[in-house]
Amino acid sequence: MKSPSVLTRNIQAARKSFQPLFGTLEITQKCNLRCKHCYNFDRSTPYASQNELTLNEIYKALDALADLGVLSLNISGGEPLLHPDLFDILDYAQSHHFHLRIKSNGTLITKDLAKKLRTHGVKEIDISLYGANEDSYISFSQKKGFSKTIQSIRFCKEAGLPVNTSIILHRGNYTELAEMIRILEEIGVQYFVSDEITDRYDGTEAKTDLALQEEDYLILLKGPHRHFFAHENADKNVMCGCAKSVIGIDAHGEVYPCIGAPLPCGNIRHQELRKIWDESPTLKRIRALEFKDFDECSKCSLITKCSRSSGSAYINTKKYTGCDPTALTYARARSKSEP
Amino acid sequence: MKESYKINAELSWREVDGQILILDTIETESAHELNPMASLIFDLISQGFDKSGIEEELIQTYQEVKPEEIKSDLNLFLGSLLEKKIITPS
Ligand code: SF4
Ligand code: SF4
Repeated sequence: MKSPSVLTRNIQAARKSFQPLFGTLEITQKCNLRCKHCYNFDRSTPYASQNELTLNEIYKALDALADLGVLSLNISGGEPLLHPDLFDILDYAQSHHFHLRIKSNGTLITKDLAKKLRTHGVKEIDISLYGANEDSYISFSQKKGFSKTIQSIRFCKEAGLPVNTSIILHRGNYTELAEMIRILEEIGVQYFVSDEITDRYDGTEAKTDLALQEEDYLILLKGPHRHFFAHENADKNVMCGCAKSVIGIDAHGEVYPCIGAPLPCGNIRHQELRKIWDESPTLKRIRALEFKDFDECSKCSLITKCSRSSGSAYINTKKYTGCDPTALTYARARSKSEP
Repeated sequence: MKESYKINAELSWREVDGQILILDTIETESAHELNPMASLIFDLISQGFDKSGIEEELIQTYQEVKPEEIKSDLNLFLGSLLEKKIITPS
């Protein structure tokens, strides 16, 4: 974006007036992959596979999100491209002139589908990349998908659909970072590195053992791509846009302060979204938080090196304002790697 | 002949703090912010009002401003929206 000042000003205004400028709507939890790190609810449980929002409920959710003031809307999953009514959903969303983004694992995109996404109003696609070759991809996502993902990225680029690739970094693939970056730079798409691995939202099968360890992080901090990891938090910031300029709704209608912070605040099947947004005690509590309420962080000597996310802290420890063990590991590595 | 416009389909927009914020991530990678009067004009265009309809609405809303001034401001604003490809004649 060439005008950050306009955007920054508006984001600040939205945060102040509690207008959720950024929203995520999960339209399904179904997925063709079985990534070991996947934070979503365990798909083998009946809760995950049944009772997802109907098409009409998704339309109602889109109406309500536009009414609340959401501008940037992430259509997410599961794998959203598996939804049988995807294009009806996109057309409906387009009529509300959202800045529509799709979050996909990228394994299902054909040349035609990429063009179709573009003509149905998608403005950006976020594609996850789990490795630099088929072997590492399979060891993580438990299905083949590397070549398909790379091909999908190319198809989207050719179709004029801006691509943001999330390189999902963990213990098993961090040594392939340079190769993943090389591939993406050769295609010419944007990328960023995500090193946040959390437990599952429902607590089943803890996956944080996949997260990078201090020794891995120290290696990355010395490597050619250290700028992705060398986070500075001089302002001691511990708060984010959760519940203020951000909102999330899952595939069962549950409303969250952010899709990455799954504190249940109400369900759109039982209450109007605006009522939940205005009156949920959980949302109000988050909005009222001050620095001192983050009791561990406010006293922590590593805070200026910490990139904590309250959502991850909540998922991993059940304490939104607490210390996230993964953030602590990374902050410790940063402090040790200082010259 | 009616002068009407349509909003570029590549754009996304929402009202923030009483002003319209427009994003164009596909063509020009830019963000625009409209002042309250411009926001009203943009909103009327999005509702399908033609130029004379917009003029009437503005004259009603801004009764303290002379109609000639409103017409000239509207011409300037429409010209700048056309130039930035935020709207096209329809
Ligand atoms: S692609 Fe996404 S939703 Fe599917 S299993 Fe992997 S992380 Fe989970
Ligand atoms: S290391 Fe833990 S306690 Fe310290 S600032 Fe980060 S999250 Fe908070």
